[in-house]
Amino acid sequence: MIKIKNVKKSYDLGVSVVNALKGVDLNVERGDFLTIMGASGSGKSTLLHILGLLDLPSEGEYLIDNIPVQNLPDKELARIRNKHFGFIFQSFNLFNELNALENVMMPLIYGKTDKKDRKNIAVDLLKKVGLDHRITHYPNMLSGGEQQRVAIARALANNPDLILADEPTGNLPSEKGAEIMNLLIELNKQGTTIIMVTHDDKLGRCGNKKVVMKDGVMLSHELVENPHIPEPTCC
Amino acid sequence: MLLDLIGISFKRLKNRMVESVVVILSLAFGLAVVSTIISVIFAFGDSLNDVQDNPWRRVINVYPAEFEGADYGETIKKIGNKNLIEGVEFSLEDIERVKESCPSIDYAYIEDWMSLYDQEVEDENENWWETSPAAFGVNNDWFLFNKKELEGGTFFSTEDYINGNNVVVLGNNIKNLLFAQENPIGKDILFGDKSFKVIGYLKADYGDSKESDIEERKANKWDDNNYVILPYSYKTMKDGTTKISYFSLGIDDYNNLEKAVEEVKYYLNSEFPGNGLMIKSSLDWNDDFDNTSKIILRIVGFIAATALLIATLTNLNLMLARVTREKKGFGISQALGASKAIVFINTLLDSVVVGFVGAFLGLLLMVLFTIGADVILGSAGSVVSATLSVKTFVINIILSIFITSLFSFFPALKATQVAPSQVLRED
Ligand SMILES: Nc1ncnc2c1ncn2[C@@H]1O[C@H](COP(=O)(O)OP(=O)(O)OP(=O)(O)O)[C@@H](O)[C@H]1O
Ligand SMILES: [Mg+2]
Repeated sequence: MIKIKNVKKSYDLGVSVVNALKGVDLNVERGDFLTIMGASGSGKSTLLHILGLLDLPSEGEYLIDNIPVQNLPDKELARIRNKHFGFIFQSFNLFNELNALENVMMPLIYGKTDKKDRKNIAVDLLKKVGLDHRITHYPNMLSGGEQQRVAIARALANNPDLILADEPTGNLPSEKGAEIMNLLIELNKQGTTIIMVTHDDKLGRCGNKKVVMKDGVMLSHELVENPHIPEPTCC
Repeated sequence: MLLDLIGISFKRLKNRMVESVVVILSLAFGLAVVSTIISVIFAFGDSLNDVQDNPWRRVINVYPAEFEGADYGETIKKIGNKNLIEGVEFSLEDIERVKESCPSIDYAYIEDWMSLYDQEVEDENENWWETSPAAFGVNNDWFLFNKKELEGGTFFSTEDYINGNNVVVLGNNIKNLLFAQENPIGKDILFGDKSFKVIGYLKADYGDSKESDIEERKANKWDDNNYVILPYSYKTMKDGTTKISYFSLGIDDYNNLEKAVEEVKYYLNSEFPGNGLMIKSSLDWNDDFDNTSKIILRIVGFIAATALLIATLTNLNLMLARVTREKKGFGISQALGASKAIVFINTLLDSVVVGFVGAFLGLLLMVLFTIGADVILGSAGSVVSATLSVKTFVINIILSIFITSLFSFFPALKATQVAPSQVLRED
C-alpha cells in the first residue's frame, strides 16, 4: 500500500542542518498495524508526517499503491489526506470553537460531502466511539479521553484507508489510553491500516509490525508475534 | 463549502468575542469618522462649487482706471456724462476680437446702465438715476452668459443692434408689474416721452433664493427680474457711433479664470498699450476664501487619513497576531484535508466576516456622526453642512472593502505559509 525508499529529511537552520531522517525504507501493507518507537527526537513524528503527506521528504521516494506522490500538487495531496488518511494526535487537536459534531463534520466539509449526509455520518461516528450523548459539547467540556474519541471519530469521517496516530494515548491516564487503544485495535480488525507512534513498550507491541527509530535511522523492523491487547481495567 | 466556511468564521468571531469586538469597533469607528469627514468635505466642495458656479466668480471686468473707487451711482453718472472717460473706448468689434484672441474666454458681453432721461432732466435732478428704471443695454452674449431664457417673444435681432432700435426685453417681474396677465409682446411702454416696443420677456430667475428673499428681490429695482433690457447700441454717441467703455468677459469653467485673466491682460496690453484699463476678476478678492478652504480641507483630510490608517493597522496587527497564535489550527485543517487554498480562504473569511460586521456598524455610526457633525457645524454658524448622500454610503462601503482586504489578505497569506508538520509536532 505504502512504500518509502531512502527517505531523508533535513531542516536547514542557517547555522546548521538538522538531519531528522537519514534514509528510511518502509513498507506498509493494507491491514497492517505498524507501531513506531524510539527516543525523543529520533524522528518518529517527522516520519509520520511524511507518511501522512503533511510534509515532503528532502530526498527519496514515496509511493502509494506504486504511484509516486511527492510531486503532486498541494490540492491533490490535500485530497489524499482528506479521503484516504485520518490523523490522531497526542493533544487531540480539536477545534475549540466547534462542538463535537462540528469537529467531526470538518473533514466532510473539506471533502464536499453532501450537506444532508454530513450530520448523519458524524452522528453515527460519534455513536461508534461511544459519545452520542456528547454531540453538542465543546472540547473544553469534554474529558481528555472523550476529546480523543471525538478526534478518532473525526479521523474516521471519510472512512480512511490509513490512520496515522502520533502518541494518541500520550496525554491520557492509562485506563483511558487502553480504551483508545482497544478502539484502534478494533478498527484495525475491521480492515483499517494503522500507523502509530508511541513511547510505550507495551503499546509498541499492539500492532503486527514494529519499527524502532534512532537518530533518524531505522534501528529495527520486526514482526510482532503475539500482539498485546491492553486491558482497560488492568491498571 | 463557502457557506459552511462563512458559518464557521462567524462561530470563531463569537468565540473570540473581546478581540472581535475591538476589531469591529475600531473598524466601525474609523470608517464612520472618515466617511463623516468625507461627507463634510463633499458638502464643503459643493458649497465651494456653488460659489464657483456663481456668474460673478466667472467674470473678468474691463473698465477705465477712473472708475476705480467710484460707487455705483457715481460710476453711472460718470458714464452718463461721459466726462471722465478718457483713453480707450471700444467698439463691439474690438470686444469680439478680445473674445476671439483669448482662447479661454467664452463670452464678451456688455451690461451698460442706460439713462432713459434726457440730458436736461439729468442735469437738473441730482438723484435722477435713483428714479430711472433699471434699464440696461446688452449684447447677445449677455443673455448667453447669464443663461437668460425667454418666456415669450424674441431676443434682439441684428438689425435692432445696428440701428439701436427702441425695443426692450423685460425681466419677468417688471413684465408682471406692467402687464399682469396680459401678453406684452408688441405693446409699447413709455419712459418719459420715449416709447419702446416690447419684443420679449424673460423667465423668472431667482436662483435658489429662499421664499422671503424672493419677495425682497422682487421689490428691488436693480434685481435682474426687474431689468428693462435694451440693445447696447441704444446709447449712441453724438457722432452716431456706439462706443463701449466698460465690458465684461465671461468663462464657463471657473478653473480657467486664472489663465483667462492672463490672456486678457496680455492681449489688451499689446493691442492697446498704455490704455489705463482695469482688469478685475474674482481672483482679486477670493484668494482668502480659497486659501482657508484649502487649509481646512487639508487638515480634515489628514485627520481622516490618520483615522483610517490607525484602524487598518490595528486590525492588521490583531489579525496577524491571531494567525500566529492560532497557527496550529491551520496545521489541523490541512491534516483533515484542507488545501493551502482552503486555508487561505478560511483565514480570509475570518477577517472578512469581522470586516463585514464592522462595516455595517460603521454605516450606522456614520449616520449618527453625520447628524452630529451637522448639528455642531450648524451651531458653529458654518455655511457648510454635513449631509448624508448615496456618495458617502458608497465611499464607506468601498473603503471598508479596501481596508478589510488589506487586513485580510496578509494574515491569510501568512496562514498558508504555516508548515503543518511544524505546528503539529509541537505537542
Ligand atoms: N522544523 C524543524 N526545524 C528544525 N529541526 C527540526 C524540525 N522538525 C524536527 N526537527 C528535529 O528533527 C528531529 C526529529 O524530530 P521529531 O519531532 O521527528 O522527533 P520525535 O521522534 O517525534 O520526538 P518526540 O518523541 O519528542 O516527539 C529532532 O531533533 C527535531 O529537533
Ligand atoms: Mg514526536
